Amino acid sequence: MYQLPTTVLDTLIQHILKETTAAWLQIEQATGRLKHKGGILSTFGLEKIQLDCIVQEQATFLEGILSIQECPLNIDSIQLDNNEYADLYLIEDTQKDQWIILIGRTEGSRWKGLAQQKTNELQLLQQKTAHLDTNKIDLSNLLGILTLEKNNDNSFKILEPTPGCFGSIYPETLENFNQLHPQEDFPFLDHFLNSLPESWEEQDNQRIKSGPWVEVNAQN
Amino acid sequence: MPIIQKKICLLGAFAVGKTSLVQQYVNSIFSEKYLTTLGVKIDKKSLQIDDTEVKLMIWDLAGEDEFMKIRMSYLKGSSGFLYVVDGTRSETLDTVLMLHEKIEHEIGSLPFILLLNKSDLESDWQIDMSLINELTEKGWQIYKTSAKQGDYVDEAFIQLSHKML
Repeated sequence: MYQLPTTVLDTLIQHILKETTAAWLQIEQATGRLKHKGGILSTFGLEKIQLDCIVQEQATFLEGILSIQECPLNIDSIQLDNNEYADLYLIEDTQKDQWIILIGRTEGSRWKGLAQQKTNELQLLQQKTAHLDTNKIDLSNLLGILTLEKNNDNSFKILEPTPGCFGSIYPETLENFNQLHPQEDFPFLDHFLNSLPESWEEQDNQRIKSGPWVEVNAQN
Repeated sequence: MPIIQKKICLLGAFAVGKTSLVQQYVNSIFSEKYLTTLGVKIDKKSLQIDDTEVKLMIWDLAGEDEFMKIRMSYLKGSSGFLYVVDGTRSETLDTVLMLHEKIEHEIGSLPFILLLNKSDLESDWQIDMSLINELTEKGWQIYKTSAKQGDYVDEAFIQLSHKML
């Protein structure tokens, strides 16, 4: 870093401090207790933080930061328990005490958040438009068709996204899409599948249609 | 009862529903309004697994896109990950696959679960199910979740906790 005369350095520090909201905590690493505190703690929702008490127990974000035992650590724009934003620094001194330094970033984060929100919304729109351009129509969903392929173990796997209506007709499609056993839930299907080898033999391996069928579950 | 603390991170592209999943799991609430996450938000929730109380420290990280990359330093100390995909946007699966590869390379192999979110919109899904089947065959554990309706949200967090113990 370039050398600065003390007068310049002091002026710079005064200027930065005037523009910055900051607070700090000094933590005894062996016990996790708060030794000292300072700065504008209320900005960060820490006005009630107590000395000689375990720091982790006094705010969720502190618990999250201190529980992972990673030091040094720097997090830009952490959202605090009071929904304010801060840049957070966790460092260790030569006495093995840990220090948390918080620098207020709420104002900047609001602007950054607005810009990011617009960027994301634009990208979402672009992605949707791209899908429209390819003129890709999901016929399975449109027609309410569920396509399954038989596995070697007589179970079935889903080949296309499940049409929404099947979530209520056959809820298992929502949780296990690689090893379904629809023949156990639909007796007609079981009968139909069992008759397939014989039907194929008779009809030269042509496509076999079951025709429409209706199942009524036990509750109805 | 012994208490174990575990850090988990939700990872994925922007607007896939990471924050909504956390809000549904921790506070049982859902908001239709999309608000982008900035930086990091930490929540916690305890659950009991057998005879152990597991205190989950849940790190909700800003979503990844071409301009914003997830900082690998934020993942240090993690015990597991929830990868989140928006079923209606196939690009978000590519993001997760890329993130997974990067994490395996830089952090190492840790327990994870893939969440195919927005199952309430399954009729609009665009993701390639054959790719999902391939991942399942590779041993990936996958849940179809709906942060909106709460479907399989608790199950996913509980299952990840089992995998981390």
